[in-house]
Amino acid sequence: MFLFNKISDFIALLNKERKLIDIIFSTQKKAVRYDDLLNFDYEAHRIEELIEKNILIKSGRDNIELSSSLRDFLDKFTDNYKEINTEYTEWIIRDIRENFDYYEKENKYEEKQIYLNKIKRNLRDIGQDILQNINNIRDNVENVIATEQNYKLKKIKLENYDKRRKKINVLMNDITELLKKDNWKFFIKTSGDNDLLQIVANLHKKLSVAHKNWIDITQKIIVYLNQVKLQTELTKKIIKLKELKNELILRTTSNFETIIQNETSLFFQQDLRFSTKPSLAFLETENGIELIENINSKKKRKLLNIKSDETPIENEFFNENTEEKQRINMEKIKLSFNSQSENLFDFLIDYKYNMNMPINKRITLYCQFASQYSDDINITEKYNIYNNTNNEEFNTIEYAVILPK
Amino acid sequence: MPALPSVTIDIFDFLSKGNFISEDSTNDETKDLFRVIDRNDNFELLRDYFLNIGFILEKGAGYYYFSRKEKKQNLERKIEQAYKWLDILDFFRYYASAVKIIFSQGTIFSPTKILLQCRTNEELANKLKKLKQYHEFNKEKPSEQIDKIIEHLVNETFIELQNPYSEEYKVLAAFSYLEKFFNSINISDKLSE
Repeated sequence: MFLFNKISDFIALLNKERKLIDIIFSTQKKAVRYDDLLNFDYEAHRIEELIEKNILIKSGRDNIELSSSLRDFLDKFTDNYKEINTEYTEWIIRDIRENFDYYEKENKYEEKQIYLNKIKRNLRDIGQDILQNINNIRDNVENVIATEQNYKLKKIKLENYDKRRKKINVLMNDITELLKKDNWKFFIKTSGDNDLLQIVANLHKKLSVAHKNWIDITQKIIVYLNQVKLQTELTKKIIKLKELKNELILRTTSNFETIIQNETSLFFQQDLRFSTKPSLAFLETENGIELIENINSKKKRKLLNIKSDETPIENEFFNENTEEKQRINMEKIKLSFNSQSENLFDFLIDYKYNMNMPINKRITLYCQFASQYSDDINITEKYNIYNNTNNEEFNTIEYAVILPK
Repeated sequence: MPALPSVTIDIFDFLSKGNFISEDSTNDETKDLFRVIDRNDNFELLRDYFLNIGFILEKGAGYYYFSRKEKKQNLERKIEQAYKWLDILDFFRYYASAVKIIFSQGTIFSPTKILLQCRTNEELANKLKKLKQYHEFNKEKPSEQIDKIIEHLVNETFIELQNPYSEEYKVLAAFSYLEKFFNSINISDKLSE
């Protein structure tokens, strides 16, 4: 129970009696004899005041110690804890057992109280030490996992914390076993010591919290160490697979092909493309019409863009000079030729063309006609001579006589 | 029948591209999609729903993805793809062991550090050079090449940009899909010794 009106009064008293508190705290969990304190020139009324205010407690015949809550607070605050190792566990469990044994066999009340006090102190210390060790390991484990970059060092550090974790577990199991024993339950109930009941209840609470944290640490360490183990194995596998791939024998020396064949994840498949036609019902709605208009205007814009992308048409293409190209209607000539009796050469020489046709072009046309319509005309074996005095180049031409069919 | 989550279409759009939804994604939208699938019976509900249209919603350790029975399989293309990923994985693992880190889910790395390592580590530089055989990584400068490889990993949703200022990337849960895939390959006993 808190017996001060204000926290400041409590702190003021602690400050006033700091030397005394320091002496008791620095005795490392051992109780101090009342008389010894008086020998240190401490006045009895000051000690009594501290006892009244629950800062100090009397234990046994004339022992004085810090109240458990103040000691817990100071232990925690000063990070004052003993590392739990095999020796610690063996010693404290043995010490409790021995004192319990002496307590049972001792008949004198005052002597019994000494053993009881020792047991109480040990039980309180165990709870505190387990919690502090667990918290310390948890903080360190979290710190190592988060900040240690070098995974080999990280592994070693975590393995060391794992060893400490196992040692704490041994102590937790031993003390739980001890508290479960019937003679212990009987002892706790019959001692009639409320302080002991309180200490045991606190120890159970602390063990329960410690157990939860212990599981948390265990998981963290195991998860990480397993991860390292798996990654090391995986690295070896990748190196081996790469080697086989480079030697071009991966497909024949492993089940790689079967694995990849059976792997159906989309990751290994070609990208899917979905194309769906728009629904006609939708296109008839206002939204549909809007969509069509948007697409239409986009298309128009696209066309305009294409035009503007091209190089401009040169001005010379815009002048009005036109080029006329005249052609001869061969079909018409063929019809005319077949409806008369003159031979083809004379016919074409005399034909009235709708353009200027020099003699050389007429001769070309004769050859062209003969080859193009060879099936529709009668090519005889006779040859005629054409004399033209007006043209020096073509003054005498020998030609095959071709008649209409 | 319970209603499908409202983001079912987003889940489909994301996964049908061959992507992965990782629980440790730094992207809020992706993280939300993961939470939705993970919530109550949604996984079973979505799995049944997608199964009707031929997609299988698969669950990995901290990630989801789609699989689908292939009507026509292009085995050679798949093998080529697996080879490429084997080379990429080998490159990053080699880098990781050189700087004594693990390259796996949760690893944070920066391209600058990889580049620095390539300058002093000949073997790593060689591995990078060999990755040029894949046209998407065929870049003149090593820095451009590393950027392209990282871009590829980002596009395939295996890593994410964690800090744009320090240019740090984070390896996501989906990366363990690749690890699991290659780990499942059994090498004939004589060779694996």
